[in-house]
Order: sequence, then C-alpha cells, then structure tokens
Amino acid sequence: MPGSEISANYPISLSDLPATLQQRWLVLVVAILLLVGLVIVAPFANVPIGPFPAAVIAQQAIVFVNDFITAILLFAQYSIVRSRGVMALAGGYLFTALIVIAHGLTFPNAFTPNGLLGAGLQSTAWLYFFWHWAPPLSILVYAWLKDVTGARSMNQSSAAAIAWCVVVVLGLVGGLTWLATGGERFLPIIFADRTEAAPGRLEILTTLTFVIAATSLALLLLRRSLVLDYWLMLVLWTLMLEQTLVGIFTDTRYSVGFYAGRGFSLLTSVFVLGLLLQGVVRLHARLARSNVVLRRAQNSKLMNLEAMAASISHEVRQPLAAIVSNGSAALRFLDHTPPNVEEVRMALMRLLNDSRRVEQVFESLRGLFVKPDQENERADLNEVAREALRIFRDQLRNHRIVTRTHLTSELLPVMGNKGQLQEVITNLIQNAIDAMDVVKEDRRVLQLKTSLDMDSILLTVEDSGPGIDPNKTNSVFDAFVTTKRDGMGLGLAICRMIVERHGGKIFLEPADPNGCVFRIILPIGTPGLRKAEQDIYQPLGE
Amino acid sequence: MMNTRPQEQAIVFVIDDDEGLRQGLAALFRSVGLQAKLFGSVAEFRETSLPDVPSCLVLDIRLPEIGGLEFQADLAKADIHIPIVFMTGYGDIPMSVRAMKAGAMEFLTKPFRDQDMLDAVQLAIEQNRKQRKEAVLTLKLKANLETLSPRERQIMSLVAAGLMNKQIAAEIGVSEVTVKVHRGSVMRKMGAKSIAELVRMVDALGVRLKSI
Repeated sequence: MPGSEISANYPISLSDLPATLQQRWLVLVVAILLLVGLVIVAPFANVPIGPFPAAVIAQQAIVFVNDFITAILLFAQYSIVRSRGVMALAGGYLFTALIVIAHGLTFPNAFTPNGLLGAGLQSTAWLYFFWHWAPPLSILVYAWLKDVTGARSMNQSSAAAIAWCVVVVLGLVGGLTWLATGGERFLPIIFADRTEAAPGRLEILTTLTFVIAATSLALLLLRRSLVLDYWLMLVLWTLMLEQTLVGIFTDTRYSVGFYAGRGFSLLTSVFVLGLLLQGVVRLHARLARSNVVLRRAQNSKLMNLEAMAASISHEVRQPLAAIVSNGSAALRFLDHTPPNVEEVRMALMRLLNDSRRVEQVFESLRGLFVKPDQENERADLNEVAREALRIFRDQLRNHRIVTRTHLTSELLPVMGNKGQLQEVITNLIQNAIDAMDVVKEDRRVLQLKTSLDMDSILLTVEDSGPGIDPNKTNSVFDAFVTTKRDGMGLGLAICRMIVERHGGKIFLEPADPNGCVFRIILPIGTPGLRKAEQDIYQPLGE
Repeated sequence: MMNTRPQEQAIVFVIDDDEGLRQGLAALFRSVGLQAKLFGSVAEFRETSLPDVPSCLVLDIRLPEIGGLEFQADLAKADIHIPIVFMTGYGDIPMSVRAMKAGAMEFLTKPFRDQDMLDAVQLAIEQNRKQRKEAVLTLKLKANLETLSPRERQIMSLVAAGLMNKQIAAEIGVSEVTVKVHRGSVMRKMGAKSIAELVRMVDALGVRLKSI
C-alpha cells in the first residue's frame, strides 16, 4: 500500500509531532517533581483539614472545563489526521468532562447533604472511580491503535464519526451515572459512612485503577514516539501517584491526602490541554512563517524568470536590429542606379553573420540548462511517484482530494534523471489539484497509476476536474499556453521537454466521466539521456 | 566659418557597443546617402573632435561605462545641442520617458523598423540644421551688436520696448531729432529692414533694457 508510506515525514498536527529531546526531559523532570510531592505529602495524608465541599466542586468545575476543551481540540485533531487512537482519546476526555458533573452533583454536602440525583452513600465514590478509569482506558485504546496503519481513512466523513463517538460517550455517562445513583444497590459498598471508607474496599479499587494506569503506561512506553505520547504517560503517572496517595495513605475524606489527591487529578486534566494549546499556537506561528517564506520564494522565482526573459530578449534583439539594418540597406543599395552590388554583398554577409549570433544566443542558453554532468541513473517510477505524492500530502488533504494509487509491483526501472521525472509528476499533480478546485469537494479524486507494457512503462495521472476543451488537447503542451488565470503556461511545456528527453511521450486524453488523464510512456532502460538528446538537438546549419 | 550652404554633407554619429549593429546601421545610412561615424563607447566618441556640419547622435541607452541617459545630461550641461535618437534592447518605458523629457528626438526599440530609424535620423538632422542656422544668425547679430555705440544700444532697447521717439527723447534727455538719427544708424548697423525685424533681433540676442 503506497498510501501508508505517505506519513509522518511532514507533521501537520500535534498528533504527528515527534517528541524532541528537550520535551522528553521536561516530562521526566515533571514526573520526578510529582513523585517528590507525593513523598512529602504521604506522611501527613491522614491529617484532617476539615470539610470544604466547595473546594471539591471548584476543582471539579475546573476539571470539567479543561477536559471539555481538551476533548474539543482532540476531536478537531481527529478530523485532520483521522486517527482512531486520537478519537479514543477525545472520547475519553469527553467522558471525564461529563462524569465529573455527575460526581459533583452527587457529592455529599456540595449542593444538598446527601447529594443530588438521588445519590446514596456509595454514588459519589463509584462515580469517582468511573471518572478515574476513563483516562487510562482511553489512553490504552489510543496506545493500541496509534501505530495501526490503515486506520486513517480519508473517505469517511469525520463529522459522522465524531457524532457517533459523542453519542456513545453520552450513553456511557448516562448509564454509569444511573448505575451509581439509582442502581447503587447493584454495586459493592465502598464507604461505611460519610467520611470513613469500608475496610479494604478503597484499596481494592485504587489498586485496580493503579493497575489499569500502569498497564496503559507500559503499552504507551513501548510505543512512544510522539510528544503527545510523553505527556499522556505523564497523565498516567500522575494518576498512579494519586491512586497511591488515596489508596494507601489516605483513609478519610477531607484530609491532607484527600485534597492533595484532588490536586493531582487537577494536574492530569491540565497536561494534555496545555500541550494542545501550546501546539496550536506554535504550529500556527510556524504556518504563518512558512507562508511568508513560500510567498518570498515564489516572488523571487518569478523575478528570476523575468530577469532571464529580459536578458534573453536583449541578447536576441541586438543581432536582430543588425539584421534589419543590413537587410534594408541591401534592399536600398539594390534600388540604386546602377545597383551597388559590392555594398549589397557586404550587407548580406554581415546579415548572415548576425543570424549566426542569434543562433549562438540560443545555443549558449541551452548550455546553461543542460549540465554536462547530468545524472543518468536508474529511476524507479513508483518511488518517484510516491515522493511526488508525499510533497503534495498536505495540499491534497487541504483540498479534500481523495488519492487513489495503483502502482504496479512489477515495474522495471527507467534510465534518466529522477529529479526531472519528479518535476513532471509534481507538475501534473499540481495541475490536477488546481483543476479540481471548481468541482464539489466529494467529487475530487486524483488517480496515479503505473503499469508495465511490453518494453515501456505507462504512468497515468488522472483528475476528476472539469476536463479540457478537446480542441486544446494538442496545444496544452506548447509554451505560454495556459488555461489558468495566473499561469505562465510553462509547466506542461517543461513536462513534454523532460519526457521527450527521456525518449518518451506524453498525451492528454479526456477522462471518464469527466476530468483529464495524462499518459506518459517511457522506455525501459533507455540507453541514456545523452543519446536521446543528440537525436533531438542536431546541430543547426553548417 | 559662416557656412550656410543649403545642403552640406550631414553626419550621423552612432554610439553602440555592438560591432555588428554599428556596421548594419552604417550600411543603412550609407544606402540613403548619409554619412555615419561609428563609436563603441561614449569615451571613444569624446576623443574625436566633431566636424562642423549638421549631425545627430544615434545612442544606445545602455552602454558599458556611461549610460545613454547620463551622456545626454552631460551634453546638455556642456551646452552642446545635438539631437539624440535613442535605441534600447529592453524597451523599458520609464527610461524612454526620461529620455524624451530630456529632449530626445526619438526612442526606438531594437529591432526597429528601418524606415523608423531613417525618419528619426532625418528629422534629427533637419532640426540640427535649423539649430545651426539660428546659431550662425545669432553670431552675426552679436557681431553687429558689437559695432553699436553705448547710446545706440540704449536707444535700440528702448525702441524694442515699444517707446515712441518722443518718449525716448524724454527718457534719456536728448532731442527727438537726435533719437531719430541714432535710430537710423542702429537700423543700418544691425541690418534690420523694419522695426519688427529689429525687435526680433533684440529678442534673439536677449538684450534687456535693464542690462544696458
């Protein structure tokens, strides 16, 4: 599958960004600091502070807002990268955001002495664990799916997938909230009374949470690569510390350990959000910068072309003016009575000389572009095509173009210049992208195919654009012929020149049902560029 | 020195760094009976002494050392009034505008049409011929002016200013008869046949009432 190769080279979103050494160190340092925090707090875990349910509610509110924003950002990431792992993470955060509400409502003494929603003694404790299981479980799914290739499907609508995910999460939150409140009797007892936990119960559940988080951490550790992975590991680590604190050192509510645990769980909701926000800002800045660079490059390219055109025209105008002068002088000397034959002869000889100078201008011009050491290498056309697609990966995605590739595995190499062949394919892809701008988003398909036919290789680039006027299919390859508003009309002329230099041919045909197909036929293992060149550029005159 | 033969042999000076174009232009001018002198650079042109005949300059706007426009400005500063036909291989409009504003005869883009070049050169030479004629006349007038006495000069400028004999007499404190006598000798010495002609001469000489 060539499609899977187009990845990771050009990170366009946070879920593609590899972790730098600096980021890894940062994560490690934070992890150690958190451990130090735990060690400091642990001995005082059971020191009572007093009931401040408002503090609990405030913390929950912050967690809700954080996780909700994180979920939105992750869903947005999903719609760009279409990774199911990211979808799982987004779902996990959405679940946390919502279950936190249920937990806050049922928290005793927060709104009513027993908590809302008909909460019993166990309701809020169970909701606490549902809340704390969501992150490690969703990270586990993320870690499981993150490297699965083929998980990225461009055809499926991201909005529909996100809607499904939200519905599932809502159902889960609703169901579990009911279970913890109305269905409380089906669940084991955790708390013996308002503040004291039933012996052993809390330990079992925190151990369970710890194990889930540890498993998830272990898997992610094995598969870590992205900066997101490292921060997710930190989330799991913090969760494990919190469970250690709550499960082992803390036996009562409203103690130092209780509040410190809340602090830890607040931190878990901050890490990924912070990373995402920072990533958004940084990527945006980078985008703006590269936009500037790109525009500058385009400008200077145009300027170079203009300067080149001006100097070529100057070089040619000079001898042309001489030719005109000599020619008309010769005519006038012929009209003299008697005709001044000697002057006519001289003028015509100078005229011939000047004509040769024009020829020299073009000869030296060609010398500029044909480098004597031009590489003549074996080129795998599939590889060249993939490389070209890789360059356009972001652009294709932004233009919502579906790419279909059928690159035959039994391709023989051609002899030639890889860079030039790639130039041909990138030119054609760029044309296809531009052409499809006018058709509806769900009708944009770019097809790239290679096949082997006897002793030649066939490469086709097909788009589903509006197609080209059948009368113009022959002239599109001529220089300065363009159908684009701001085009120079050089792209296809360059394509044809390169293909012909490689001893091949290029055609344009209408596609079915609409669009156009460019077919390139290249001979297998052409004896060499230089031979083909000699055939095309026979020395003029003499 | 006062050569006023109606059709003396005109010369076209060509300054262009391209040898082939110079030769071509020389042939073109020769074919219509115009003599051309060729120069590869402005420096080369400056080294030669210009013959005293009607002439014009065919000048490339981009020359290696000193540009055509710069040279045009130099000539104007040195009070040398030779009509210039510019050529360019680039066809840049800003430059052509500057050249025309500075008094160029014509601005031709290479490759020019032969007839355009010949027309421009003929026109330029015609203009130069006229300039030279005027210059010769002015010289003659200046020589005549030298022969006037201070009083005669004074009366000439007052006449040219449109004053009647009586007014002039009052102005400088002599009798009307004396003014008449001086006036008669002014007309004779300057070679003017009428008051109108005398006024034109005074204008051409730029003699001002105040300066006397």
